[in-house]
Amino acid sequence: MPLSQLTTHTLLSLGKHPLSGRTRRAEQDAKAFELAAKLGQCLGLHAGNYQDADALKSFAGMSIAPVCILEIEQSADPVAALSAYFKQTKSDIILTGSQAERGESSGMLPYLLAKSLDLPVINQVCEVEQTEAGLNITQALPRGARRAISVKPPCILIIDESAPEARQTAYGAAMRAEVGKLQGYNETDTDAASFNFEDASKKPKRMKKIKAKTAADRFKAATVSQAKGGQVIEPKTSQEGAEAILKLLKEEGLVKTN
Amino acid sequence: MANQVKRVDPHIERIKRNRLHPRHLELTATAISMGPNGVIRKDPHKIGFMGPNGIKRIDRANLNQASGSSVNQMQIEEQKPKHIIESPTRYIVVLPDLAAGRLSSHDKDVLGYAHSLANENTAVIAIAFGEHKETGWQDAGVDRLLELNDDIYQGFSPEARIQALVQIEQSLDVAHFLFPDSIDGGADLGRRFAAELDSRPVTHGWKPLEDSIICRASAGTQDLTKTLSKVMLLDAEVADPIDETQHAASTLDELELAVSAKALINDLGMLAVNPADISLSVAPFILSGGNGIRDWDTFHQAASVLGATEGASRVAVDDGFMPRHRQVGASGIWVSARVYIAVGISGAVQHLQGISQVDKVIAINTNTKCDMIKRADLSIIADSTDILNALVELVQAQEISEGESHAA
Repeated sequence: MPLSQLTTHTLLSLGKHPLSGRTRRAEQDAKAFELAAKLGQCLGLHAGNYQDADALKSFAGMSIAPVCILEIEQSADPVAALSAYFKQTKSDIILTGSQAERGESSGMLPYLLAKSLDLPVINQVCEVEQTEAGLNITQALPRGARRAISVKPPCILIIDESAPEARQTAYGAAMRAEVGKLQGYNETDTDAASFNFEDASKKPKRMKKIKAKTAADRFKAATVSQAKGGQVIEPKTSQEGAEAILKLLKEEGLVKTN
Repeated sequence: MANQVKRVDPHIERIKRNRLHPRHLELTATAISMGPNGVIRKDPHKIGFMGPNGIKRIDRANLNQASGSSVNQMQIEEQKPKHIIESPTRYIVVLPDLAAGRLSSHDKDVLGYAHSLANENTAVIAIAFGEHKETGWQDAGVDRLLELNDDIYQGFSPEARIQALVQIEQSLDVAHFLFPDSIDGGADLGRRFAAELDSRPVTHGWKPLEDSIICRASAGTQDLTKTLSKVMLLDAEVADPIDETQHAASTLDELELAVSAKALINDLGMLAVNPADISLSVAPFILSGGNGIRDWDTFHQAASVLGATEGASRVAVDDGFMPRHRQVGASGIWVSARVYIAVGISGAVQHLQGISQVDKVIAINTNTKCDMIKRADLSIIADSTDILNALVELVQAQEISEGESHAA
């Protein structure tokens, strides 16, 4: 299957600037849109209210693909609407961010969508490459490690923070763009209606607990610094010193053991 | 043996009574003895040591006896009360990340939270997928341990893991499945499992209340109180880790799991990453150079042979040997490496702040008095160039011998 024949959908959401609180494009979704630009025919899809069309124009201003709103009511569940949409419109790749910047922000949407459409879902994706057998995906792991994964489309990919930076949005192109409108399937999310959001309270710093049972132990804990002296080697030859270092590196699994 | 007879040597007893006997002092010099009424007596004339001013000191807090304190700690560990659940009727399952094969502090916090939800008939099960190196399950609060390390669970294998979890959910009475909400795997597996069970999970739960938990929402800018759910993903420091009780960590082997090996997602293995491309703040292995380095070519060669990311102290950057974005410390980058080799760095306070998150520090320095050696877990007192050259030779020799063994 050549590249151009793959159909890709990127799920777009509204972002919120962490300091000003102003509506903006969601940063992770912008990265997903950027990645979709390389994967052929694409559509940006947002399940929500058409009143947000102005805010979504910043995605259109990236000049990657048209942006469309799947219109649902305020109380409706976007997963049900998207699931109903993708059951009618086949898509080879669905790209999403890992969590929304507004609302519950549980990060469950791609997984629930994958469950209802019975598709494989891969998280922390930072690169996608098309091969004859399917897709070769690079998954970003903690500490800069990378893992290669192969999967056959259709599939859902969740973008990682370390994916390539999204391009800037052009104001003129954004203002000229038309945002499409589709009627979405409404299914009320009853749990979400009772959610009561408050401003995030500060997490308290964890205090060091002193569990001394005797007065002498308490006195010691209060006065003596917890200096743990390491091993000090004065090697006779440099070989000896290097071996000591190599032994520790092998224990930590950083140098292969033979 | 309960009926052990205490034997008395009459010769020694006689010597103890005779103050004029030449061996009398040697046999009676016990500072702590039992008095006639069964009370333990300490003889203040026989304990203590001479202080620097010639005054006798008694070290009652054991401040100067490193070995003595470690003996005390050993005894405390042995005395931990045992927390044993013979026949549990209800379970709480914890899925630790086991990043780098060991329980992380995040995993231990989640285990601690599991015990805050448990009652006297609840056992906390830890499920360890894949290979691991952890041995301290008992002290971390694991009542039952299920190790699943067949081939189908290795690497990135969410489908097999979810199948196994669903079968566990069906065969045991599990109240909660707890996952650390972390990028080491818990966040992904937990959400997959919640979607599979079609139950709305607690995500980023950070502050437990009585019957509910406060979760972070709106990408961390808002709080949302949710009732406790079947699947819960918890932030770090959600509860204090278990450290006062010893748990059984016995194997849970009455389960028979039938997991099919068919998978849509194929793990092709880890990719080789150029260590120079890894951001210094997350790099797992850093070789850092400072003012003590005379030969920077050797330093760069050592970094490439060892596969380490390069770092530098402020002096090395100011002198132009390393670029500014490689500077480690308070005014540079705060690193979180697992191993940090400080070559020729004496350890200014700002630099030591920058490496406070590091697990193991190795110092190579000629000055035995420097602060870096006090911080380091292993210190080599030698010239840095010689040690780095020897290290490069050792690693290369090992690679050559490996290559030969592969060829043969």
